[in-house]
Amino acid sequence: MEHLSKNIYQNINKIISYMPNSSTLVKREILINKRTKCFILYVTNLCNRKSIELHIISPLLNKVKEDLETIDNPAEYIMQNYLSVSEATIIKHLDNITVELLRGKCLILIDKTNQAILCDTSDIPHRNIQESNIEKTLRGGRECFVENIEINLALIQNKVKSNKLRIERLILGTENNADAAIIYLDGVIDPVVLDTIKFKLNRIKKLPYILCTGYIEQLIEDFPYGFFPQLKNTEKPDKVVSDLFQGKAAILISGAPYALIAPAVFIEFFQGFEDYSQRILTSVFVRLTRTLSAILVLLATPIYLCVLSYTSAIVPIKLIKVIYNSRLGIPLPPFLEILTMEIAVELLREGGLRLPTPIGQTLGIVGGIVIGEAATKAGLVSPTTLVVVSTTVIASFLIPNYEMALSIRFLRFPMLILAHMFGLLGVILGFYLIVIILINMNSFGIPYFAPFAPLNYSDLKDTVIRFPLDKILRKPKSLKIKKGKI
Amino acid sequence: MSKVIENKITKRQYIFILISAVVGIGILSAPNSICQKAEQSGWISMFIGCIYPLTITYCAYLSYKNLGFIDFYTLNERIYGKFFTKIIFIFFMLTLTIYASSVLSGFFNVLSKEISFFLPPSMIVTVVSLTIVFTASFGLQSLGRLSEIVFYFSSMLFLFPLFTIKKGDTTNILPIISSFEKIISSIPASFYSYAGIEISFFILPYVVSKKTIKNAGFISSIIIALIYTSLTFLTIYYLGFELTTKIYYPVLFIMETIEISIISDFKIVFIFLWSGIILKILACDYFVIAHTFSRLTHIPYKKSCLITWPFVMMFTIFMIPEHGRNVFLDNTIPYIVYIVLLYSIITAILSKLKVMKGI
Repeated sequence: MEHLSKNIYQNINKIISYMPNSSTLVKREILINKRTKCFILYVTNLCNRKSIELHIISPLLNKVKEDLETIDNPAEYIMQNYLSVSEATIIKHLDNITVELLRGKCLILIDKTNQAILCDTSDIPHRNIQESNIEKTLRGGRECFVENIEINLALIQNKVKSNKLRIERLILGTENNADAAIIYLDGVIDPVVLDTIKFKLNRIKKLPYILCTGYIEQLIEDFPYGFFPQLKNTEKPDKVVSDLFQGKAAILISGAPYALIAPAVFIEFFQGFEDYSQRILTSVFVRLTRTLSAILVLLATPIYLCVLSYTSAIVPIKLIKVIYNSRLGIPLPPFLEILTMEIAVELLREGGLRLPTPIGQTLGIVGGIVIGEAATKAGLVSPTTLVVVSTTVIASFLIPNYEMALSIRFLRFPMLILAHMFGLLGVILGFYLIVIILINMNSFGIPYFAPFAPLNYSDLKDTVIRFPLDKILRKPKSLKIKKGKI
Repeated sequence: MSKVIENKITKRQYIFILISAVVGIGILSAPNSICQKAEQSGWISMFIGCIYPLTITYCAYLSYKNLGFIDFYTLNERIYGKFFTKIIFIFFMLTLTIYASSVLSGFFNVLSKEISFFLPPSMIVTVVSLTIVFTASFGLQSLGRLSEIVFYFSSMLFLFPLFTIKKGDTTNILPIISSFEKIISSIPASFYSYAGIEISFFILPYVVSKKTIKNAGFISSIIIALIYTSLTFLTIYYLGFELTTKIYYPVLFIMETIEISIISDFKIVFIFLWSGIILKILACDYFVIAHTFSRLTHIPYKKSCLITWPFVMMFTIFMIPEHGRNVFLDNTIPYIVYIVLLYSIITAILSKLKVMKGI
């Protein structure tokens, strides 16, 4: 522990040595009562200068009339009598001083005392709260998280006015010292689940840097090589609050406009937040459509390949005639034809993802319609293949969670290869293996495929179907680890 | 950091594992074998045959209840001593290997005839058996979850044959009782359909709530009996017993006759869906094989899964020819069934005697 010395210049030199070549560190020297030397240190652009001038420098220069050298604890005396800032603390050592200054705090060093005052004057530039571009909702709050963790916490606290709300702060990354927080509702979250989350977060504390929630997600999940996302990412405070009430925890980190929700189970990734605001029957229909779409994404092209290559007997003769006629003159074998189309779609999707919206739309139109039409006319791809592949692409957009949609889209390729190698048997085995993997996965001790496996009847009310809100607005039983739970 | 209990199953999962271990490929051909003697009353013999699973599961419960739900190996050691325990384990390992191999070879025959005719036999057997090894390697808890979910999702398959009610003929099942002698003489044949229930001995100690386990064996036996009996009844009702005895897979034949406008051959769809059930039964059998091997050799369970794989493969390849398999099974399964029945009853009695003597 690096203690403060009574010599103000020694202290200044130490701080400068921690932040060498820092052109943004401001060292404002003043004389209190024209006698006692004082330094005010802060990092420009991270602090509110007006606040420093008005509430720190001005009182110190104009109001202090006492001789500080005769006072026992001058730092404490000044803090209590002259500083009109909302948050100030006395410090006796310089540990973490760099981090504090970079958080926008202002340090007041007074000569001939081994104490200093740390004032919160932070005014870190940040993006204003805006409407989400990714998680669009038809009903529900529009606001989404920003990169500033304090604002994000405020957004959550504003929605959960409960004395059960707990926010535990921690610093992640030994080099970047990112502020992070675990948010949960005490008494609602399962203590074992909470302990597991804390244990895993503590384990990654010593890594050099952690920049966003994606890093945390990969570092704390149980199956890093698994196909499926095991934590939920959301930029909507509403969703976080809803999950907190269901007994989950949220993890926030500064610099990331997302919250991580843990634990997460498979079926949640197919549920939209607005499902609970819609009419029951409509939301049931929408959820069934999503489930069907996920199955379509996974199985449509492999089964189509099987029909083309091996098991044409499954389809009525009239339909198979149409399919075969459309393939007349196509030089590529069915597998390569479908694979080429799938890869082309992935190229278009990945290409359009990071482009500005108008250009992305143009790319979609040019790629999807013009190239598709041209490829069909040129005889490179059959129209039926185009229909099947585009149907699966559209179906993949129905999955509300981007990570899950990406995982399922990715799984099409191994399924397609299995179908090519083993026909319908390959599709059966591929699907079976996916189920095996799903039922053996856990998210922070909670079975990932719950409430289907292990089966929990009461939690089935909010899965592919949805019961009335008064039946489901409670903590799911699947999210509780107790003795004997399988 | 605590985790959920490994290798423990719930009572419900125990019930579904028992169902999973019995209902498999045999169901497709069960009406054929049972109608050979019992004719149109085959479904009655099939139902009476559930005495076998009821006896086995109840004896297993009694034995464990008397000796305090210790694991199967320790239970045998306490009753029969070390040497005979090893013999019993070898017997069960071989029995389950025969079951698994017969199911796998039967599955292979259906696959190679219907959907995988373009693949070499060795490839089908290898791919399917490796999938089974992978499934079984996750242990009992995983099997419990799998059995539970597959049962619910596949229960609709049991409903498909109901369409025959509209098309069947009541004269096919009349007179309801062909003759009491024929019905009784067919009961042993129905026992073979219930083979696989022996897994009860291996998994019962791992059920979490022991207090409510008493009726679990009864529930599972009745569910299995109802599935088998209804399918046999519907097959006879639709095809008549004469045609049923001439078709090796009569249930599959029925599926072929289902007409759905966008599907020309429903049989393939049925096999597609039925495969989940077959893979599940194979995984259950394989769990016992690897478990017994692991206990006998003290090799870790996961490694045992891999080591026993060539052994099962070899048996399966031997059983692929349909006729050879039938001859082999006809000559072995009856003995196995009676030995298991005898073993269960003796174990239950001896366990009670041990308690009475206070050993």
